Amino acid sequence: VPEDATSEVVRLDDGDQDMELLRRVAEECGADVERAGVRSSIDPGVLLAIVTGGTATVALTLERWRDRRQGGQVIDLRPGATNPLRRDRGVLYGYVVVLLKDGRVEVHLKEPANHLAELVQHVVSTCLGAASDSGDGDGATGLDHVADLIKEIATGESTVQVHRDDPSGHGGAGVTGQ
Amino acid sequence: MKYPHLPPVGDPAGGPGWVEAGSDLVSAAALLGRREGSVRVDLQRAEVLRRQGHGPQARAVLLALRPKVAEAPLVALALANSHWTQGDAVSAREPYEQALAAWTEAGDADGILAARIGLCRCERMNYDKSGLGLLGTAVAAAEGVTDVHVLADLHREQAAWALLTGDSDAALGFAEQAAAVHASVEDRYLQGLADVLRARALNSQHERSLAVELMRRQVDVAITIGSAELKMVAVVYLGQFLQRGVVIGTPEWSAAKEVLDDALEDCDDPFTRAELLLPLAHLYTNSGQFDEAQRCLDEYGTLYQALGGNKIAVANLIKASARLDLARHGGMSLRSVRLNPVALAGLLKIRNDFRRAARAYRRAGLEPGARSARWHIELVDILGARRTKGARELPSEGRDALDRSRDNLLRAEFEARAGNLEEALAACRRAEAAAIEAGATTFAVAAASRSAEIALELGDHGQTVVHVRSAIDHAESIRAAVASGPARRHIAGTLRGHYEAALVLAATIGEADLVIEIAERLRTERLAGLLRRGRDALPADLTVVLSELDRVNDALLIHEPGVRGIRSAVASDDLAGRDIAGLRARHGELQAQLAERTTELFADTYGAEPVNMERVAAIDSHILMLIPVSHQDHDSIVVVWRAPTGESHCTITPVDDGLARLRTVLTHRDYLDRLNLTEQHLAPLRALLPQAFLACLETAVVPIKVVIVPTGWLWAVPFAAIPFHRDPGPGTLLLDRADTVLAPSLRFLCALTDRDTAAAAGSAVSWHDPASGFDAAELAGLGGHPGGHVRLAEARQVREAFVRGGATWRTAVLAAHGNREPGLAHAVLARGTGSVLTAADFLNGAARAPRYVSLASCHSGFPDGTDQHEPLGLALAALAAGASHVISAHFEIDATGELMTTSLQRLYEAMARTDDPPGALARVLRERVQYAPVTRPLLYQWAALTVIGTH
Repeated sequence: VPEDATSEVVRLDDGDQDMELLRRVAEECGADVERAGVRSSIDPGVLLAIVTGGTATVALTLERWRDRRQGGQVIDLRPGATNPLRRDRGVLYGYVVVLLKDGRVEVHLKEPANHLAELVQHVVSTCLGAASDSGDGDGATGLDHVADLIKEIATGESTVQVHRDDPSGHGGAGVTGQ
Repeated sequence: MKYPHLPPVGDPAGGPGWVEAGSDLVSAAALLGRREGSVRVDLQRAEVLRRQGHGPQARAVLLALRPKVAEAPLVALALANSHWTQGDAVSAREPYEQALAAWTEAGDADGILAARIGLCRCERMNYDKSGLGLLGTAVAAAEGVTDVHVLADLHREQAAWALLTGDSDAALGFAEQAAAVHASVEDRYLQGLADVLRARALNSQHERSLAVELMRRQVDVAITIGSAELKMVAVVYLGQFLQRGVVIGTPEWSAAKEVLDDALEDCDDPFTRAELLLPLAHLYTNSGQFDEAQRCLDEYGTLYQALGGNKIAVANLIKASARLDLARHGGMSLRSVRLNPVALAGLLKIRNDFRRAARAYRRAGLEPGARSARWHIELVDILGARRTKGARELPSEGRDALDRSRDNLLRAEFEARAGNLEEALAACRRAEAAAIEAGATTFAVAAASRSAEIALELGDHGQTVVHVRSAIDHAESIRAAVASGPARRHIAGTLRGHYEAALVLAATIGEADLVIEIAERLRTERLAGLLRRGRDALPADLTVVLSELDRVNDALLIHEPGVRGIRSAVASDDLAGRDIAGLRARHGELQAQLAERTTELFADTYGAEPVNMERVAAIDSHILMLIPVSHQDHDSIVVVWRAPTGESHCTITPVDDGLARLRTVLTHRDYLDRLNLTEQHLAPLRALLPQAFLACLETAVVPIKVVIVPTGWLWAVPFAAIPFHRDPGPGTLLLDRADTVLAPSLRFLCALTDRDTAAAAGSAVSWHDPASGFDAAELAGLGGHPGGHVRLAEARQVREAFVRGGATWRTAVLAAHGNREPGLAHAVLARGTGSVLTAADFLNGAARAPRYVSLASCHSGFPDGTDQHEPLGLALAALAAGASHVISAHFEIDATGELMTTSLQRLYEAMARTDDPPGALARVLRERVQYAPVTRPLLYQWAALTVIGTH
């Protein structure tokens, strides 16, 4: 037990799925996780977990867990999209799905913690900005253009898949909706 | 009402029955019944019936008559009188006019006057100052009239009009003249009506006591002579006189209420009912029963509308509604209005309403009403810290004691706001003296409390103490003086407001013992009663409320299982159809009923004695009392520490952001932030502790014994884990230097200490909810009890063992889930079987709880509830039922962690042989580092455990 050991209790909204994710992240960061419970009749169905470790370790664990449980990144460049940037629990963490009028591009980042922000920023600044400047944005937000752009900036470890004319074919919940 | 050309009532010339009609209406009716019928005899019969209060029967007699021309106006007059008596001026007017026309044609001066008097009566009922012209015509018609009895009728009418225009001297003169005439023929009915007018005049002259006494005599007279009609008139005014300025807690309040309620039962005409409802509304307003007051005013307005409207009634309604609004804003006591923007906006509206009332009274020509409205405007101006020109002139030696008290309170505020503190203090003292004279105790409390504040501002601590004590003495005299629940709540709220203000004053000047005395008075009506209730069962109606609450809980569970708990949920048929809002509303009603009934029950039955400071001085533990108070719109916490040596100190600390955040986390419905509390989060509480107490902890070689008396949300503080040292580090928590035990009050503590404890049996009993989801390994610690440890197999065995098992078990332990139901509904729950044990169980039937009870379930020591001074729940109910110590929890406790399980197991091992559970728990907690899995455990993993009881 580290000298600055601390604990934090978290609520597991998705029960086992949340707990499993928390275990994986904690292991990655070096913290301990256990199921927790209180002798109370309030919220009997809700599960709790307690994360224990050094102060920084616990903080990192919880930051990553809270980040990952939000799911993958969706960038919606379709005309009329009201929420172009969002996290979606229906998309696995580490994946980026770019929705376009004529298809979609899926990216699997090997190191999302390091590369996700960079990729999102690049796509958004290039495509959204271009769409806005040109008025119709067909060129800037066309499938081929976006796919090329992403392939340019994606590192060698990441994979990029292009799905033409199938904006709603992805099985992830929430990806197709607004 | 004199009938022209008939002998006056009481005159033997009127024949058998007519003589008795002034003093014995039953005999009069009997004698008249035996006389041969004639128009005049039947008219006499009708008059007797009218006096008896049988208006419809009187009219039936009159309508059946076929009078000759000469007698027709007499019959019309009698018919009109019967209508008017029942408040039906519209129906009365026409026969009066017929009588007037007939007598005018006949040139009959007496008749003309009698009819004109009748028309004046009708005009007066729908009063307007323009009606004075009609009275002038009647007075003119009296010229040449020699029948003193008809003239006496005129004098009564003149008296009534003089009252409306505010000329009480003239009213008194006219009424006395009339009374003398009626007395000369022993017509006690008409004399009674004249005396009612006299009483009204006296009341206008602020001779309230004389007026009330005179009116009480009229009620007696009415009963003696058998006149329901006179009785109703007398009661209406008696009720009005009694309610005027009557202060809840005085016998007069109850008397007025009883008088009005009885009269409402008897009354059968809308006019009288309306007249009874207005004073009743004022009574309800004074007692804080605002919904009832509103109901009375609504009906009053409706009835007057149905009667054709009346300018005075309109003005009365506006004023009474404004008074009600003022009371809703806390304005019944000059000291209790909170001057926040919302309240100020409310006051401005109320002020406008009073101005409307004053204008309405002026339009009606009713000067006394306008004066009263103006007085209230002065009050509102003072409350709103606005300028007032009138307050200096208000006190008048000629007025009665209650008025003098109220006016002096007003003046004191005026002077205080102008910076004239000496004058303000003098006015407060006069107000207090006058309030005592008037028997208006809450005014006396208000005056004494204000005196204390002003004395403090003047820097006179000695006088501050004197006035604070005076306020407390007054306040004590009205504890439990009020019978009805809402009234009791109102008075309790008012008194507690004063007590809290006094507490702040006492803490400000460092009077620690006085702080203790006041803090004790803020609580334990219920708790002291609990300890003294012996083996009485709960009253049946309380049991009914509890059982109904249980049913509604179960029905709610179906809708929101996450909130209401994990009880089995089979809603009764009658509740199954209700939606969640309806069920919640019903739940709220039942909880309010429960609070009301328990408070009444314990306060009524067992009373409350002041704390005996000599007994407190004999307590050989340190005492730490903590009381959150709201004073002048600021939340503060007063803390007083008293060492066994008698040394005592107190602090008063404003609730800053840090304390406010902690309060929110400790009391919030969502528990996640609470679970993540560590001792560092309790650091803001260090500021509450007196420096001398902190120094005492610093130098303690062995742990000192401390009795902590928390209040309200502070019950949720895990005191053992408060850092007493500025620098965190080993040995710097309260538990490192102190063995703590909680008590709800010092009176409760003394009663517990002094109670005979039967020799404890040596066995332990436990019940573990098999569906709880935790294994309760700590129960193994009970095996060390000399008589062994029995594990109950069935939930249904729990009540018997925990409530009545004192002769068999030394220690009884539950391992199940707890909830936060307030009061007697506070429960330990089991999955699928509902409440295993509730606070009510301990109070129902012949209880004899085991010596040690462990309710190591969440929230077992601190239930929800709105009454911060009167906590009531599982732990305290168990103590009241015979337990000497109850292990309980400040909030959630760990169900699965090793630290909690080990702590409990070691505590249970110790309980097999210790006489000091608080010391045993403190030792276990001090040793926690030896078996803690982490160096800084969360509070819910160890520190939320506590012992309630004695050292």
